Amino acid sequence: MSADVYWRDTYNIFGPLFYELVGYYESSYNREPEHIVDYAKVCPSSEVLPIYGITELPKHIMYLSQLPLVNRLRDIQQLSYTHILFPGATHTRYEHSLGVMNLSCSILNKLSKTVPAECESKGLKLTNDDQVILGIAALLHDLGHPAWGHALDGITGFVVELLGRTMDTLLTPKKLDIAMTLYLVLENNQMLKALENCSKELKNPEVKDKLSQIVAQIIMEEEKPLFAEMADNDLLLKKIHLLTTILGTYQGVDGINGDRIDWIARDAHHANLGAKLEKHDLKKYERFIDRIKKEDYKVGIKNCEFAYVDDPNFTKTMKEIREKIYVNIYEGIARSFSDSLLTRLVYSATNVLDIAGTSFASPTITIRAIMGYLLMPDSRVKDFTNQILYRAKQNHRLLDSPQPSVRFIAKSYDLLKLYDESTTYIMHYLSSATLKEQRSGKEKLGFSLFDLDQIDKTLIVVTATSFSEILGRAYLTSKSPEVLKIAVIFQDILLAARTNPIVAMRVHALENSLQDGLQDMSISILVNYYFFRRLEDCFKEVHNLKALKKVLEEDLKSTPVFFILTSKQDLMKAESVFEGFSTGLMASFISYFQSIGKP
Amino acid sequence: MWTYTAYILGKYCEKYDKSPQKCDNLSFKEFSSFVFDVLWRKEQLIFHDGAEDLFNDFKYMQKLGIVELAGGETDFEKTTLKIKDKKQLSELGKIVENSASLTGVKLFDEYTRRINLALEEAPCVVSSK
Repeated sequence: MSADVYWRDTYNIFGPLFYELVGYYESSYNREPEHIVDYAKVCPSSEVLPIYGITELPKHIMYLSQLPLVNRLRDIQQLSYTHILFPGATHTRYEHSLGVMNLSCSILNKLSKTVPAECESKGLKLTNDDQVILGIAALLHDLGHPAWGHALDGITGFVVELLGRTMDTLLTPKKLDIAMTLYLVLENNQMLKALENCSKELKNPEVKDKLSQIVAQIIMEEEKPLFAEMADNDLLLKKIHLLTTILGTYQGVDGINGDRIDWIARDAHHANLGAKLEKHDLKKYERFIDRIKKEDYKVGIKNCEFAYVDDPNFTKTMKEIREKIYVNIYEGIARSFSDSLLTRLVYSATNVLDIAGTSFASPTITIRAIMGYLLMPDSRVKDFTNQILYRAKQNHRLLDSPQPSVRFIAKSYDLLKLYDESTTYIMHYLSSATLKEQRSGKEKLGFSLFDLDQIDKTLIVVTATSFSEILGRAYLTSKSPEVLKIAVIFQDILLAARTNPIVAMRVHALENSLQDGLQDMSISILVNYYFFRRLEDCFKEVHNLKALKKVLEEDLKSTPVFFILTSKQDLMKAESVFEGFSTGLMASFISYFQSIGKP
Repeated sequence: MWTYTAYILGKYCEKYDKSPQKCDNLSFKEFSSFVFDVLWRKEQLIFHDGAEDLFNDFKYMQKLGIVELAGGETDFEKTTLKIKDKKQLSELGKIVENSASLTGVKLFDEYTRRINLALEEAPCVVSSK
């Protein structure tokens, strides 16, 4: 196909949808705020929030909350598809953002009455400007949260890479919402102009013209100054540190973290965590929520620079409740499966937009199309994913990129249908599946098999224990020093998968090779991004391969690494057949890991 | 992301002093100033949350036997770094450099490109001795 024909065909097929997304971004989220709300005419108001009750919205917050970019958070669910198992958990990012704003400003107010004299003498004065700045940063801290919330964290590295083409700041792929929020606070016309309007509330000329940078610095939770304008202003930096530790935290500094306090209280409240707790824990939990509502905990300022909770009992209980939320609500095989599936769908669609945009639009416009897609409300993003993947499947000859392969994208389209029709069943099935319902293949391989009878599918789960076996065998014969093996595993496996799990794990190639070997089965592979996040958290204890084995087999043992979805294979019920399949699967994985890691 | 910290350290020592003694006694303050003042603000590549995060990478590398830290863990200003195993540090650098092509993660190439640009742009620093 000639370049001209390729360009024309790609444009004809993908152009209308691509530019609809660009238009959506421009007209909804990049339009200057003057065309939407007149700042001068905005009046303060209030809203009623679960947990805290009446929440005052000062003029600048009332103004921001009416902008489409902020208002969209009312259509983004805080906990993605958790509501399938916890029907009460349908609360939104907006509710949480407002909760954080309310709590953070209230804490600042409390702190301002107790600033130690020695801090005042060092120039620390808490003023109304600080209330304005912190309120804005708190309200906007989740501004860039895409649809389906943290379920899409697995595409963070890919989005960071895309943003890096047009934006100077390049992040490590830690959080998708922070990367997107940074883009919106620093590059989006609606937000830049809106913050300019809000800065009318500020009195200090030193902060007036730096509001967007200050807000970005606070939201990023970075201790060092990101912007040259604030690098030499020690007093301003210390103030930013104080505000940041009210809203969040820095590594090595235990901030108050109003964000965390709010999501603990709010997610637990809406998902009804209490119903999952034993009597003793329930009482503790109820007391804790009561203390949050009444703000019954002491706060202080450390080194005239960092805010902290001066109440070890409160901090300890918060840690315990947080753990309970993770175990009972956030984690589990059902949620991992659902998140891995959504990650694959959105990654595939974003890739199609990128490939199409590269052929007929500039990088800036392509980013806007992708932003238009990712910023859509939960209800619409599925429809657009469907449209993008459908066109890609029907016109695969136009997608001449090897990554991801055409087959991979076509399968993603089929998976979307499965997701649409069967999420409720699969999540219920997985959350209630007991060990008795699983049948393992060879004990040492540790693959688990689930029969999803209602939809005629079989799901095979490759756990951390199997992963340990795979890595062990892949690196058994290598004679290189252990430290270099650890480095390869960290860099080329863990970090690469944290950055872009689908590409790093070569899911498309693995899927194709398995498929080619098993003509009578349809194979789709999903990779669980959160396994790699958890492995990274544990990695500080890993200084040799023995320690790595311990982390994988004892700490993370049943955490899914891959999900392999096939058409239902009754013959797999025979132990010998499943054993044979597991052995073949193991061999494929080992050969793959040997190919990427050659220390 | 200690592998990148190791990569930056290897390149930093390579650039600033051809003599092998330079990184036998490198002050943490000097190195962190390169990371936060040059790599962050000039190349806008944000790898570490702060000095504590960077320091934790070195503590990890110390356990791996790549570097040795001396002078105090609470006051970073006083800490000095010594490369214990130059050969392994250089091998580690190669792992990081080849990672993008091995794994297909293009972002890794952009990271190394910006690190190398920062090293080119950075002014020559005062000796740590």
